[in-house]
Amino acid sequence: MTGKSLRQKDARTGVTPKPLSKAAVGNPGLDQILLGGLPRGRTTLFSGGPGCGKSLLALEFVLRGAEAGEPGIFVPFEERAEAVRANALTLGWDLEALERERRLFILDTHIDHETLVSGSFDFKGLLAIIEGVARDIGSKRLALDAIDVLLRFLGDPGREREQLFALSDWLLDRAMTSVLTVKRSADQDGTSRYEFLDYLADCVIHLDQRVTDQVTTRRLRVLKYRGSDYGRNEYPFVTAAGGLRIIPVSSAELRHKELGGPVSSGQADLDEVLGGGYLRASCAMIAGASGTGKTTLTSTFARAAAARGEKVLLISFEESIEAICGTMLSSGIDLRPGLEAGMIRPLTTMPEAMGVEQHLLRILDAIDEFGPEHMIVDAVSATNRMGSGQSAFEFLVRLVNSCRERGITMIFANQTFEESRPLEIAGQQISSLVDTIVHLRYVESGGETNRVLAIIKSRGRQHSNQIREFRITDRGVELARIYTGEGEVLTGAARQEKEVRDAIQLRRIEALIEAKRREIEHRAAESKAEAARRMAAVTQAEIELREMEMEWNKARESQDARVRLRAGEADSSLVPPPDQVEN
Amino acid sequence: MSNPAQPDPSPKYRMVLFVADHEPNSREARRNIQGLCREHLKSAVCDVEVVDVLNDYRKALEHRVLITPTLLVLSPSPTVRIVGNLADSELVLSAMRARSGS
Repeated sequence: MTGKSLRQKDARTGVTPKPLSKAAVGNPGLDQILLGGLPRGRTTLFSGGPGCGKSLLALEFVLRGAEAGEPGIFVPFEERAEAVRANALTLGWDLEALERERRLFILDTHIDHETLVSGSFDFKGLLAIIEGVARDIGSKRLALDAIDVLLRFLGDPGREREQLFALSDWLLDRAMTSVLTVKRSADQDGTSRYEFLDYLADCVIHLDQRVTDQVTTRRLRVLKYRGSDYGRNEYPFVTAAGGLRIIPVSSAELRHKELGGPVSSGQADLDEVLGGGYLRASCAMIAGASGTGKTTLTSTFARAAAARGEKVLLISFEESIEAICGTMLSSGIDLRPGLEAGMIRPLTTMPEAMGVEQHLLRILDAIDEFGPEHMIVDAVSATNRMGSGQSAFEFLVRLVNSCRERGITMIFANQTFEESRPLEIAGQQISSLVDTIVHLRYVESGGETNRVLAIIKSRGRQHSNQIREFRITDRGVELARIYTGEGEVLTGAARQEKEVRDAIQLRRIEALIEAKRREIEHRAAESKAEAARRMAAVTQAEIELREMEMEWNKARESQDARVRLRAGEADSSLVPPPDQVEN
Repeated sequence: MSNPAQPDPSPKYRMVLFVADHEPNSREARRNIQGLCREHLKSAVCDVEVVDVLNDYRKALEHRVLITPTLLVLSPSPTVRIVGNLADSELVLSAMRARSGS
């Protein structure tokens, strides 16, 4: 409490603020949200309902500290030390090794026998033990897990509060970086019994577990952090091997790499339509109904990238890699060399197999391990089956942000339906995520159904607005010139007919252009001649003018001479010399 | 106190009282256990060890004593743990009697 008022006073008096010292939790995601870690030497509260992961996070805080040279004490009030060790092992954390090295101390608070209460008491015993152990192992961190269980023993909210204030003061004096965890349970009046804990702690992190659309999501949110800024969103997380995995996402906070240079789509005509190809580190979406050739286009890209020696992570939610390989082979696109060379890494999974967080984690792990230049997701529309539309959207936002940060080119196939727009995934507008949209669809003309391709959007690039006919042959993909007259798109036989008609028309226009060009040349020549004529006239007039002037001067000279002769000898100095007059 | 019945004359009580220095509840507990032994457990042998947790945290750790004052009645077994300043002597006495086989 005093810490807060002191800091505020500093701000008012304009004293240069000293940056808050932080203790890294050791969980990269959480440290990112906390802009470095928890307030060093101060108390942080993790609150939340049962099973939301607060104990685990508190343990991780102590464990990572111990690993990094800050010994710590973990005091579980709800679990036996044995259970804590066993649970930790399932996450791959070996607490006993650290305990043996006296870097970690788990204080077992469990009592087998009966306890009776007679009269008032306090927790001096606990504090004395912590203090003694802290001295022995040089502890810098402390976590009191399920402090509510300890407090409940007091049986009276007034005394709970009193004891907590005492504990808080004690912690502040010890200058250990501490974490308290507390179960939140709303009383009848809707307020939490331990709400006052929020005021005691310098940093408060709330965790919760929600079930929406039959999918359980755990989330974490920082409620306050005295003297520091922090990520203000709700961050989903999962418990996986290695601990809590939090992937912070907020496009505003993340610093993306600039879009890179063009990268070939694997098809020269498509590259031309795209204005050079896709852009590195950008997100391109190939949208279209079933069978329009989305996978053919993504595979064309994958094959070409692999052939250039660039790694492609191929995430398939629809088909096995064997099935994709077989289908593509019939279109003349051989993915096998890329797969065999390890340049194409398939990652196939059913969207329903796990929750959004696990999916994301699995993909990010694959990215970190494989280090691909490009990533294909076929099809992003399947993410909708991971849970609600909202969770699919969040999944994509976070996936795109993570890939952008790593400079990975993303090619998404998106299955659209008759009535839906290409930008939508189950009603979710994702246009802001996508830099380029290639739309594939069927058109009917002249009794045929053909595929067409259009670039709907290409962020920051010159691209063709034209619609092209898109053909899948046994030699891969071909794009054909298209005709857009009165909004009509012609394909197939109708297109060929039009081609002939247009060839004639074209020649006619070419002739007209040639004629016009010659006309312009003639007119230019005429104009030049006219100008020359006029220039000559001006020159002639100038010559004439000079002759007239000379004549006038001579006449004047002879007149002056006559005057002098008549008046006898006059002052010759008044008469300018003849050459001066001439000039 | 309305029923100052004597417990069995034979038992021997071995107890440890954990206190925190001269903190009020600890002082009170010390006084209460002495009074109890003197007035109600006259015929029994009362062996009370007093441990100050501030001086000997290891002993507190060994017995997982988080609360002060805590009275551990180690024998006769099973162990009973009574926390608080022992103001309710009736409760303390009945707990001890229950373990003395009466």
